[in-house]
Amino acid sequence: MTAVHLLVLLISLAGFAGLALAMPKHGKAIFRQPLSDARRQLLRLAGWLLLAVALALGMDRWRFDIGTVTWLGWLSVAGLVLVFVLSRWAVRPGSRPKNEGSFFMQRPAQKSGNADSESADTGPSLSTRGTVFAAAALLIPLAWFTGQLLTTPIKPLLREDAIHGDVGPWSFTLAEKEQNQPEIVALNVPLKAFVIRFCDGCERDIRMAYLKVREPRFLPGVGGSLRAAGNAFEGRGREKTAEVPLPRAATLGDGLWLTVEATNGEVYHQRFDIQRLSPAMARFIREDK
Amino acid sequence: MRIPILVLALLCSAAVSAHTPVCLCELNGNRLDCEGGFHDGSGAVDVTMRVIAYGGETLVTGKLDDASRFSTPLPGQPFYILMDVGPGEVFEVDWRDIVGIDGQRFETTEAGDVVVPQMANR
Repeated sequence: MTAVHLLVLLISLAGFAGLALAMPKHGKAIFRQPLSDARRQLLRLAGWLLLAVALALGMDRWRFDIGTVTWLGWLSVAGLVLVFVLSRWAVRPGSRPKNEGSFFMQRPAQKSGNADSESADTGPSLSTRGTVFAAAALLIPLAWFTGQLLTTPIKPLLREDAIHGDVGPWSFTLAEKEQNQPEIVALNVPLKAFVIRFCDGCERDIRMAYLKVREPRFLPGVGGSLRAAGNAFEGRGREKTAEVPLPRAATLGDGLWLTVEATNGEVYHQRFDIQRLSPAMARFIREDK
Repeated sequence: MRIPILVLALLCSAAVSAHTPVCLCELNGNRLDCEGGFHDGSGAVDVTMRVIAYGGETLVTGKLDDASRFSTPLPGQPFYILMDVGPGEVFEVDWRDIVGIDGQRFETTEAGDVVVPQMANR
C-alpha cells in the first residue's frame, strides 16, 4: 500500500518535472542552454504520459473515486516540491540572469555602484517571511493530506479480508462493510451491512442478489422460486449494500448464504463461513451464547 | 426554489433506501405475538405476515395491525414467520428465534431434518 503511494508520488513528480523542463524558462535554467523544439515536445509528451500513468496506477489500486482523489493529493505535493526545487535551482550561483527577482527573494539594499555584481556572485537569500510562507505552503497541505490518508478507512472491497469468488457464471467480491460488531437497531435486532461488487457487465444478467444468515427458503415443488433469500443488495453505482439481520438463535454453523437470481430465472447459491466473512459477527454470536 | 427541493429529495431518497424490516416474536401461552417495524424504529403498518411450515405450506397469512403487531396461534409443526415488505425486503423469524420458546420443541435429526413434531401445546 505504502509502496503504491510512493510510486504515485514519484511518477507524478517525474511527470511534472518533464512538463517544467519543456518550458523554455525552466529548460534553459536547468540545462543552461535553450532546448530544441523537438526535445521540448518530447519532454511535454513524456510529462503528460507519466501523469497519466500515475493516475492509472491510483485508479487500479483504489478504483476511480478514491484513486482520483489520492492522485490529486500526491499531484499537489509533487507540484509544490517542484515549485521550490525549481526556484532554488533558478537562483543558484551563476544560473540566474541579472536583475531578475522572484516573490520569495529579497535583494540586498544597494549601497554602492557595484552592488549588482555582488548580488549576482552570492545569489539572493530567502527572507524570513518568505521562508515561513514557503514552509507553510508546503507543510500544511502535506500534513492535511497525510492526516486524510491515515484516517480514511480502506474501502471494504479493497481490504484483504474481502472474498473473491464465483457464483454461477459471475465473479464477485464480497466483504462486510465495517469490521465492527453488528449494530443493535429497533426491537433489539443485530444488523450487519455487507458490500458486493459483481464483474464488469455482469449486472445486466442479474435480477437480484441476496444475503442472509441460514439457508434460503423456496416455494414448495421442484425448482420452486425463491420465497425468502434474505435482504437484497441495493444502492447506486457498482457496489451494492445489504443489511443482514442476525437471528436470535443463530449459530456459527448456520453460515451466510449468498443467493443470486438471474434475469432468466436461474438461481445460484453460495454458503460462506460466518467466521471467514465476518469475524465480528462470529464474535458477537459466540459472546451472545 | 428547485435546488432546495432537489437537495431535500436527494437526502430523503438516501433515507428511504436504507429501510430494513425487523421483527420480534414472543410466545405467550399458546399464542405467538409479533411486533414488526423498521430498523430506525418506525412502525410497519399493514405489512404482510406469513406463518409457513418447513415443508413450504402457508399456515397463516395476516397483516401487521395499526400498532405494528401480529398475533397467531402456535403451530403444531416446525415453522417460520415471514415479514414480507416486498422483493428483497423480508425478515424471517424461525421458530427457534421466538422469545420464550423451548429450543427442543421440534426435534431434528443430526442432519437437521425435522422428524417428529413433539407436543404442539406443551
